[in-house]
Amino acid sequence: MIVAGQIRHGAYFDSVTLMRVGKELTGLPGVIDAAVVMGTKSNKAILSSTGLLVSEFIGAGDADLLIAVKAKTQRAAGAAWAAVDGLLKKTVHTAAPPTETRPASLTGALDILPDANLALISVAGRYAGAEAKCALENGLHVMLFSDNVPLEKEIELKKFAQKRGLLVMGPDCGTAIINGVPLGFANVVNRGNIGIVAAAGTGLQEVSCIISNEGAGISQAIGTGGRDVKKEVGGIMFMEGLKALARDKDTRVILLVSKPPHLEVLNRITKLIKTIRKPVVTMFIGAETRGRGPSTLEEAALAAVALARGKKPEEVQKRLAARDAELRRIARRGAGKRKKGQKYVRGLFSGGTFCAEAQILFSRMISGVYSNAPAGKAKQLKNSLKSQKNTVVDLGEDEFTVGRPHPMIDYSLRNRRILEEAQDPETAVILLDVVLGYGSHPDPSSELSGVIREARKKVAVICSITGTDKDPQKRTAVEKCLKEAGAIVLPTNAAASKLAGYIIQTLGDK
Amino acid sequence: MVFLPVMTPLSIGDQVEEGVYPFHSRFNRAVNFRQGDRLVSVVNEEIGDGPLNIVMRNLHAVRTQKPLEISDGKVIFEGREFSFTDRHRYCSTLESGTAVSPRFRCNLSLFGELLQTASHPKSLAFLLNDKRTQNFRSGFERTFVKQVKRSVGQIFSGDRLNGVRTLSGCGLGLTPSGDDFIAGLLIGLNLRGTGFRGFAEQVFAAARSDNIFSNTFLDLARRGLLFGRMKNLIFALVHGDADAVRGATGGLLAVGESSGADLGTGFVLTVSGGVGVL
Repeated sequence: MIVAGQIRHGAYFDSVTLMRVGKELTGLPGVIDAAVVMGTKSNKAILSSTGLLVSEFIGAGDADLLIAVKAKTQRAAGAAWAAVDGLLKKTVHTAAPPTETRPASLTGALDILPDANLALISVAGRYAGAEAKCALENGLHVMLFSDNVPLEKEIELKKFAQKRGLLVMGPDCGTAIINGVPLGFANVVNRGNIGIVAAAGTGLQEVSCIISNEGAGISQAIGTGGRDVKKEVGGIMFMEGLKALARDKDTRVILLVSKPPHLEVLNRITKLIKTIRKPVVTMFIGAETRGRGPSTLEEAALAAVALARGKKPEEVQKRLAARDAELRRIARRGAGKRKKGQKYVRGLFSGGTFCAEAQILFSRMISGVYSNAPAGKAKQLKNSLKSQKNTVVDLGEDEFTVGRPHPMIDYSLRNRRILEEAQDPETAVILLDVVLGYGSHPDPSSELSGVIREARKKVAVICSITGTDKDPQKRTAVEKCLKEAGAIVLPTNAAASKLAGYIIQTLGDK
Repeated sequence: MVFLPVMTPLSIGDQVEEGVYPFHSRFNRAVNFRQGDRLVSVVNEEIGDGPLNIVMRNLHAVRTQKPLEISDGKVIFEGREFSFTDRHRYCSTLESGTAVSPRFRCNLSLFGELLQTASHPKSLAFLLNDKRTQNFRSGFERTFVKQVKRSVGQIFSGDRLNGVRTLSGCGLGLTPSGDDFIAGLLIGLNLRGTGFRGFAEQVFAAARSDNIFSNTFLDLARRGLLFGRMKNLIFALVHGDADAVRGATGGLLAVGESSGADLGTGFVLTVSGGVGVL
């Protein structure tokens, strides 16, 4: 009979693991008894009573793992030693058993869910195209969350899908709501009769939330990815989405949201709109409206709600004019609290569409606007990390997100920037967007409250919130926390940007 | 876009002090940091609130061994900064007014029954029901049962500190079953009132070892500082109905497979007087 032991210094395992490993060792052929325990005095006493104490164990300490084997033969003991590491390692990998079936391929997924009609693809861009093609070949609509899909691949996929009557939402499509199910970064909104097609993710989130918060609802919200409305892709899916909503019996009003499409694409979209019998509201952020269409996401969403309720969209303009007059009054009070030399706004955005919308609004109100993602009359920032005059930064751009999560998820970068901007004696206002919903940070107020409290000692902090009370974060709860921290909280990005612009205007007048 | 679940701070224990804590060890549900005798753990929701726990939702698999930094409402973990406010602070003490009552006696009896029927087969609940010793079959396990019975018998029959010394470190795992039992004993002594404080100090001194996990756990128990699941149980025993006790017992038994039951056994024997059931 052989009794042999091994010591593992500083190796910690929970008791169940050690019990299991001990039991499995004991069950090996030729093994009479085995124990795997921490090297405490008491355990050594028990090992001694059981005949499992070997001389090497005498000097072992409480933090040492002792492995003892009593075997009929040297060979059986050797087999036990060969098995020990595997049994301990197995524990690490099996401690969190899978709680759901995770197929390794699209085909495997379809075996489990043969009635599926949409695939959400989020893999590295170079593989995403092939996966999307596979999904389309299987008759599935595709939401392509991945970015970095080559342009030619996007065109190929979209043409392929178009022929089969399928949608390809993306690449780089972060948001969609299909049959009431939020996909990617999306909010929990009311179901209703307004359909949305958007080539702007946060733009889609903003209009869908405004519509829902007004008591109306969404039939479908189709994202296309921002590149869809460029000349090369030609708006293939933007127009397919529009056609789908035109056919959809549950959609009464259609709302289109995008940064300005290429002129050729815009002409095609305009031509298609003329063939549709439902009211269509268009919001091409930054495009010249000449007073005929909405100029902000907020106005577009409210116009869609008015139309869905059989009212005239002009009523929305009156309502917003009254609201803007109130914002001007708030701005005068806010400007009065600023010190001499404080004269600039610093917009720190997690949503690219919001960053663009703020710049467009500022272009009409103040001069000297700079951005890392210029829109309207704004100029290119020399260094994205350093503000110049009135600066509006899209923190979701590549220079900030390479190797780290999106700023809607990870607030650390923006929080640092808020505190830096607040220290700048020329900063008067810090403007922020807070985006709620699935995919976004689950508790934004805990991230922001501290820094807002600190920043507002020196500057005004204005926040907009994109979200609903049905979102996991609960809009009103977030609003309450941010207000308690000292922020001025407004319901839309347009309202928040206008207030910031009015304050800077007023300071300029002084 | 990278679609990662974000780590979110949920709570920070009231005994977590500012400082820089070097990496100590990691497990599936916890990452531990040590500074002197103090062990602070970043844990997931399954482990939950504790006096020295920082609870994170979506605790990722940690690959580096960066130190944990805690200062002025901020925690830097894995190089990422998390803000904590007062509303995140977990209070580990029992609210004043917690007292033993007739309802408590009744609930404690139910808790003892649940330990016998619902706990891990190899937990120390065999001290409440001898039939459960049948679950211990190998030579080592049978000797372990004898040793535990002898030690616990000493604790409740007068030779208390010798019993604690021989029980300490007895059993498998990170915090051996004997240490979990002693932690339950200390929590029970705290609940029984200030008259037992001196004894609790002696028990702690006798049970101290080189095991940082056990020492931290025992030190907190000695001072009446409770992790969330134990606090919930005591609250349910004092104020709750049978369903509340069942729910809180389920929560406790989910701790470390046998650890919760071992601790609960120590607690129930101490609070109920102990000797009669042995």
